[in-house]
Amino acid sequence: MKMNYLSRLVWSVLVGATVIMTSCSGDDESALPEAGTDGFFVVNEGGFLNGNASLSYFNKSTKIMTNDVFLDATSRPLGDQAQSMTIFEDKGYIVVQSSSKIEVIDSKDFSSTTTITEGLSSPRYFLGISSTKGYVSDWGSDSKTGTIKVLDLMSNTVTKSIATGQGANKMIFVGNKVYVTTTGGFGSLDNNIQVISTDTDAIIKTIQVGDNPKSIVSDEAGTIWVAGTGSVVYNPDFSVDEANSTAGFIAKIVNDEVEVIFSMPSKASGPSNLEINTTASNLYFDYAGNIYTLETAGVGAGASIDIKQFINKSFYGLDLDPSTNNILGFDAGDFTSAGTMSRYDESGTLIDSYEVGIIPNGAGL
Amino acid sequence: MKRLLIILFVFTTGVVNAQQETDSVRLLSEVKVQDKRLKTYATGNKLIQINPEVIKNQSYSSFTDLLTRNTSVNIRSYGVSGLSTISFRGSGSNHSAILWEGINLQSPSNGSLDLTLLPVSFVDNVTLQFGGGSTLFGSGALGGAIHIAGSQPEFDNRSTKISLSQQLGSFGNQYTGVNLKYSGKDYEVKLRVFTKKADNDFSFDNRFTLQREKQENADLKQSGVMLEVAYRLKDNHTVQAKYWLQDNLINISKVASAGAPSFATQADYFHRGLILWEMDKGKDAFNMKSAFVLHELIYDNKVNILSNSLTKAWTNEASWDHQFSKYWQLQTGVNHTYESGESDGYGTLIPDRHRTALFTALKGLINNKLETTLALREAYNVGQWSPFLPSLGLHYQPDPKYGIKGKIARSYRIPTFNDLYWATGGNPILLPEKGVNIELGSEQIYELGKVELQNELTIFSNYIHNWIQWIPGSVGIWSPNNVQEVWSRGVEATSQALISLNSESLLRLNGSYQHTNTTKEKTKTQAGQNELGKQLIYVPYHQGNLSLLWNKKLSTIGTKINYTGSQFTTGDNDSKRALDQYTIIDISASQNFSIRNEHSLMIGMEIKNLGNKSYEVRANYPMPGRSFNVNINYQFN
Repeated sequence: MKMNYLSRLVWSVLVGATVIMTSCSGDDESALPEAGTDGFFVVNEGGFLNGNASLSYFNKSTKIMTNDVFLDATSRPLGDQAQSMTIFEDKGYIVVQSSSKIEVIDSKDFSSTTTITEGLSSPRYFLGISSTKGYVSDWGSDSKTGTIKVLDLMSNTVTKSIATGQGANKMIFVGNKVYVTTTGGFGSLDNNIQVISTDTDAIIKTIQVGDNPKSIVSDEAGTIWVAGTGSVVYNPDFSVDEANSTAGFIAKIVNDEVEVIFSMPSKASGPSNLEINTTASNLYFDYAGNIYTLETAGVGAGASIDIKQFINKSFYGLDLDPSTNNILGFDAGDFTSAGTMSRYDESGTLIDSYEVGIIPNGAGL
Repeated sequence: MKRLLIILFVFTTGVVNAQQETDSVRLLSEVKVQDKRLKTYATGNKLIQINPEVIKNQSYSSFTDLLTRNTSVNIRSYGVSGLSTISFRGSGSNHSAILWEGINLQSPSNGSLDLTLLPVSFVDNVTLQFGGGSTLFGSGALGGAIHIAGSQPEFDNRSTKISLSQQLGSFGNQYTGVNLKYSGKDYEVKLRVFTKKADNDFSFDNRFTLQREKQENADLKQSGVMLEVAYRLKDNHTVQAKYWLQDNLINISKVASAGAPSFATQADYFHRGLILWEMDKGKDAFNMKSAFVLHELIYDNKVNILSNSLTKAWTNEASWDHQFSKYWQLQTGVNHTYESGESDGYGTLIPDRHRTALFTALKGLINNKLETTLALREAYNVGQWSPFLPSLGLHYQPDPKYGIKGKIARSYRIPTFNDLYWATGGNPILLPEKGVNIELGSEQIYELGKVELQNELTIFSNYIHNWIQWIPGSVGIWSPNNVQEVWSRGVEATSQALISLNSESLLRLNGSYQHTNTTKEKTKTQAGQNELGKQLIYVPYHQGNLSLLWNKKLSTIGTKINYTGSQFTTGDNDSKRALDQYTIIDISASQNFSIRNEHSLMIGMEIKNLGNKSYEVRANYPMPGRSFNVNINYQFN
C-alpha cells in the first residue's frame, strides 16, 4: 500500500536521483527586485536529495519573475526540498523539509535573518500566531511522529512540541484555534483534524474526517473546508483495488463539527491543494488530472456536491493570489528542468506563464 | 521504495591460443585482449586495455579508482563510497555491460553494477570496449562494455607465486590482499582474498551551510575470496571452475544539503560461479560455459525502511569457432540466460525470464590488409523476438604503422525488472532500447629514435531509440516509458609515448581526451520539449587524462591528472546549476627491492588530490580532499 504523498516523495527521489542539482557558480543574471514591491515569492521544491530547491520572486506590476533570489542574496543554495513559504510580519519563513530547517529572510530585501535548525526534523509549514510565536508542522524523522513545534519568534527556538497524529501538514488559524491536518504517516493512515488552542498550545479537540486530510482553508465566517486524498491501494496489475481503497473527500466543518463529507466518485485519486477565494464563493482543488471548482453556496448536509472542471490540467502546486483572486498553477514538467507558474483568472482563463525554478510547489504570499 | 534505494546506490573467456594469422591484423594496437570473442571479432571497435602492470600495481583499488585514474571515460559516483557506474560516450549508467569472463554482471533489477564494489585484485585483464557491442555480447552493451577476466592458466610445473599487498592511508583506509597461485603440469589453483575498510571521514566545505563539515556515516567494509581452478585434460583442452564470494557493507552518508544525519546501510552479497570448458582442435575450437550470479542487497535506513532484493542469473553458452582457411573464420553460438528477481518493490510477484540468443560472426582477412567482421545476433525473450542485431567492422591496415578502422553496429538493452514490474508504476509493455553505433578511427605508430609514439583518433555517433525514462503520469504515479531518442557523437583521442632516456630509465606518457555531445533529439512528453537539442545531464563535453610515469631501475615516480569539464544537472542546461569543472592530480612514488629474483618487495606512497580540490562528481555528494596512502607489496615467485 502506498500513500499518495509518499509515492510523490519516493518518485521525486527517484527522479531526483537521476537528475538535477545546483552549483554556486554565481554569475550574472539577476539584480535584486526592488524591496517592498507588490509581488510574491515562488517556492521551488527541487528534487529530493539534489539540493536544488530555490526561491523566485514575482513582481506583479512589472510582471518580472526573478529566479534564485535566495541564492543571490545569501550566496548559498536554499537546500533540499523546500516545502513552503509563509510571509509573517515582514519576514519570510521558508520551510526546507529535507534540510530540516527554516530559512528566515527579510521579505523586503531578501537578506537572511537566521536559519532555524534546532528541534526540527522534517518540517512542512509555518504559521504565524503572534509577533512572538509561530507554529511549524513536522512529520518527524521517522515520518510517523507528527508534531506541531511551537517557535519563539524572538529567539527563533523551538519551545514546545505538540504531538498530533501522523503527518502533521497544513494549518489554519481561526480565532484562537489552529486546525492541523494530519495527512498520514509512513505506510499508515490518519484521518483527523487536530484543534490546538493557541492560548495553551495544547490539543483541545480532534475532528475525524476522511482518510489522509491534506489541505485546509477557512472563510471569514469561520467555516472550514478540508480536502483529503483518501487512500489508494493497488492490485498487482496496478489497477485500483476498489475494495480496499477509500475515496478522497471534501469536508465542511462548522463550529468544530463536521457538517458534511462528500466522497469523490473515483478512488484513483483524491482532491488536493484546496484553495478558497477571498469572497469564499468558490473552492478550487486538484482532482483526477484537472483543477475543479466547487461553489460553496448551498453546500451542506443532504445537498449533492456539484464540482465543475475549472482548468483542464493538473498542477504540482496550486495557490490563490488573494489580491486578485488569480489562481496560480505550478507545473513541474518532467521534474528535470525549470518549471512554470501560470496565472488564471476567475473564469479559468490563462493570463500568463513564467519560467520558475525546479519543481515549483507554491507561492509565498 | 526499493527503487529509491537502488537509484540511490544504485549500481568468454578466452583462450589465448588465438590464431596467429588474424593476430597480425591487430599488431598495430598490440592489444593483448584475452577474451577470444572480443579479440577476434570486435574488428573496428575502439578498445582500451589497461596495462596489466598498472592493474597489478593498483591491486588495492576499486574499479572506480582504476578507471578514473587511468582513462578519460566518464565515471559517475555518488560520493566516495557510493554507487559508481560508467557512462561510455554519453550513454546512461545502465548502458554498459560489465562482463566477467564473458558473463554479464549487470543487475537484472536495475541494469547497473557498482564499480566501487569491484576489487581490482580479483582480475588480471581489463579491456574497455567503446560503442555498441550487443551483437557479440548481448543486451546491455549500448554504450560500451568493460571486460574483466583472470589471466589464462600457465600450467608451469611446480610453480608457486605469492603476492601480499597492504595499503594504509588517510580517512581510515586499509586494504589487505593475498593472491596465491600454484600450478602443476596440468593443473593450476589460484586463490585471491581481500579485505578492505575505509572510514571516509574526510572534511569538506559544505556549500549549503558554508561551513567545514566532517563526512559521517560513509564507512565501507568489504571482503571477498575468489578461487580459480584449471585442469588441462589434453593440450588445448581445459576445464576451469571459478567461484567468487564477496561481502560488502556500506554506510550511506547524507547528502550535503540534507538536515538529518544518516544511519543508513547497504549490504551487498555476491556469489558468482563459473564452469568453463574449452577445446581447440586447430581448425575447430569449442567453448562452453555455465555461470551463476547471485546478488542479495539489503538496505536499512535504521529508521523506517528495511528492504531486501535478491536477483539470480544463470547463463549457459556454447560456441564453436571454425577456421575455413588462413583467412576466414566463423564463430557460431547460442546463449541462454535465466534471470529472476525478488524485491519488496515487486509485491508478491517474483518476475523471471528466459532469454535465448543465437549469434554468429564471420571474419575475413582480405589481401592481408583488410580485416572484416560481420556479426549477427537474434534473441528470443519471453514471447517476443528482440531486435535483430547486425554489425559490420572493418580494419584496413596498409602499413604496420598505420591503420584505419570503422564499425557500424546495432545494439539493444531489454528493460530491467524494476522498469517492468515496480509497484506501482512498472510498465510491462516497455520495449527494448535500441541503438545504432557508427565509429571511424585511425591508429598510428611513430618511432623516432628513442621515442615510440602511438596515437588513436576515433569519431563516433551513437543514436539510441526508445530510451526509457520515468515520467509522471496524470495522477502523480511515475512510470517508465520509451519516450526519448538520444544522439551522442564526439571525438576520442588517445596518445601513448614511450621514451627511453637511457638504458636504465624509461618515461611513459599517456594522454587521452574525449569530446562528447549527447543531446535529446525527441521526446514524447510535453514538458520535455524544452530539453530538445540540449546536452544530457552528467555528460561533460570535455574530459581528459594525462599520466606520466618515470622508471629508473627499480624506482618509479608518476603523476596522473584527470580533467572533467563542467556538467549540466538539469535537462534544460541551466548553467547556474551546472557542476563545476575540476582537475584532480595524483602523484605516486615507489621503490622495488629484489632478492635473488625470488622475492620482491615494493614500497610505494601516493598522494591523491594533491591540490586538495573541493569537487563533486555527482551534485550534492562531496568528494574527499588530499589524502595520503602507503602501499607495501611482497611477491614470491
